[in-house]
Amino acid sequence: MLSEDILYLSVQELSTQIHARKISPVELTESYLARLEKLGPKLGAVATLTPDLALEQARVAEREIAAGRTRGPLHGIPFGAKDLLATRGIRTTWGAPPFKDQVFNYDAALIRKLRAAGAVLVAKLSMIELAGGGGYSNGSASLQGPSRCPYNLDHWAGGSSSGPGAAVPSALVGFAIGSETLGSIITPAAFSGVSGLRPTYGRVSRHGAMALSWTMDKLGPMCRSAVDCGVVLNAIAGKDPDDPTSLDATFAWWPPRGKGKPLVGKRLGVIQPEFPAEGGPEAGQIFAAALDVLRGLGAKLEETEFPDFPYGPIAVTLYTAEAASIFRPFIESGKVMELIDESQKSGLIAALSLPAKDYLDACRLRAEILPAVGKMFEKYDALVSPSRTGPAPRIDVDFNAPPPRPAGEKPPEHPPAPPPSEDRKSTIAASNVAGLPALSVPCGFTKEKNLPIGIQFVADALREDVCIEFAAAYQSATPWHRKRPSL
Amino acid sequence: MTRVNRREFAKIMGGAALAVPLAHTVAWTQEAPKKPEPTKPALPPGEAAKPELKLKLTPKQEEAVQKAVERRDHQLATLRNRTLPYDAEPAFVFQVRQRPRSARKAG
Repeated sequence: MLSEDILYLSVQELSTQIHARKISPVELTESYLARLEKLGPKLGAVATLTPDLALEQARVAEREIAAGRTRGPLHGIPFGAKDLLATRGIRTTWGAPPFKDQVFNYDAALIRKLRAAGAVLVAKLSMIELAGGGGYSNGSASLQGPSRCPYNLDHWAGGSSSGPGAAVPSALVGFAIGSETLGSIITPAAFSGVSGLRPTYGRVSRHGAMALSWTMDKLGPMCRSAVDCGVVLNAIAGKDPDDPTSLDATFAWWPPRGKGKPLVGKRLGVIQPEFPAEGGPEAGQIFAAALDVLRGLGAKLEETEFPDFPYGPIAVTLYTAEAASIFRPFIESGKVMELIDESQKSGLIAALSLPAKDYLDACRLRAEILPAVGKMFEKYDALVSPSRTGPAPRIDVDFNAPPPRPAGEKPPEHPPAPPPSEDRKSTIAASNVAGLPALSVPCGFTKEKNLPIGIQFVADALREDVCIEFAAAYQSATPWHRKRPSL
Repeated sequence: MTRVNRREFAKIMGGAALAVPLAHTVAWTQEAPKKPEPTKPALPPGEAAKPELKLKLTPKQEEAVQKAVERRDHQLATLRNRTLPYDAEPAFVFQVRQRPRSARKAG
């Protein structure tokens, strides 16, 4: 078995060693499989292991590389895929009990692309049931049980791409693929200390991925460095005739070679949200320190806000209406009652009654949002904000519970709707509604509980290279992405 | 066949265009007045409509769904309060399927 030091290498470093024939893809695959078997259950990271397929793919990669036929930097690299990507002949559970035995007879487009790039599928990784489309009340809302933050097992890995969140920083895989509708890559990246890239809407084909929202779903890499995200995106981006919304725009990106102050002359718009009383102040301090690092690298920072739109309600309306249409037969058949989380059940049933006029209004507002948010990139190369305003919650926390109140104060009947000013600082909602790319990287850890905090870079549509440039520059000056959990 | 010039044609068509909705109006007013049907009482402001379901729910489940609807209505208040400009069109992705034109056959 290969050492832990090797399994923690980045995709780039592994690739260099594989192509120099210092590491065997078969041995690497066997080592990751052994680690998945040993630590996967502890972390709640795995839906299904795929040892037979993995070893077959690894042997092919080894033969090809030995014969001098290389397929690029992912050749022979083991990876895991969120369990919403169809894999021929292998269970695809969507994280939900009603689909526990679901098997597709085809591969998702992304799986086909990674196979063509020579990558080795070692595991389907766990996820929140149906990617949390109905709204879920805690991190246990998964067929695979709760996924745990590798740095503190009492806390949640984040969702809905929970398995990738838990597996990547624990070196159970070389890299992973997650999906995001509204924060499902950025959140586990932040909570588990992962470098997670949510590409531009349409950059990566969604064919064969469970649909939650046709107009908001995105697939993207979750890795141990920002540079690795670029390497993986190179392989998975591109037009796909099976996904009419996929874009005919090539993504070609190479890791930067320059040293010194890589961000000189770059302009960053800082979205500074309100940090909550619980866990927020420390996250705020860590974020402020990260901004200092960016200044030190030469970037010019200026505080800004998103244009005035109700991004959160728009996002919720779009995906709720689309999920209602997608899952209508599932809901009406009563199968919805087999889901784990009570909020998911009632949320999906309630979704059937969302008025069409709300959906249309959200679509109309979205048309106004695209140019308004796009205009921000005339002034800034990218936007930067905390990925989340606090660290990962404990596994047993009820997300629907109101925040703790002073003694004697009566809780309101409904949680208060966020004030409009807060919506202007909601990076996850605004950037997802606008279909923009974002990359979250770890920027520090809380002192007492050792929980990761993330910083995210958002760029204009189709400018994932800008997100990677900022995040890679930040990682060149900080140690956080190289930190390892003690497992 | 009587020929009309373009100006006369526009005059006739203009009248025709007006006439159609007028005809409808006349037809409506000429119908025998019906007794107003008893309507369901309007929901009090703030009370959300229950989804009509094919699914049989227990009273407890119904209550949970109703709460989810209320929660959503509360959440969407800022969206619903927003006035949209009349000419704001939605951001849809829709393209008609364009069939390749078949070559004309001779003869």
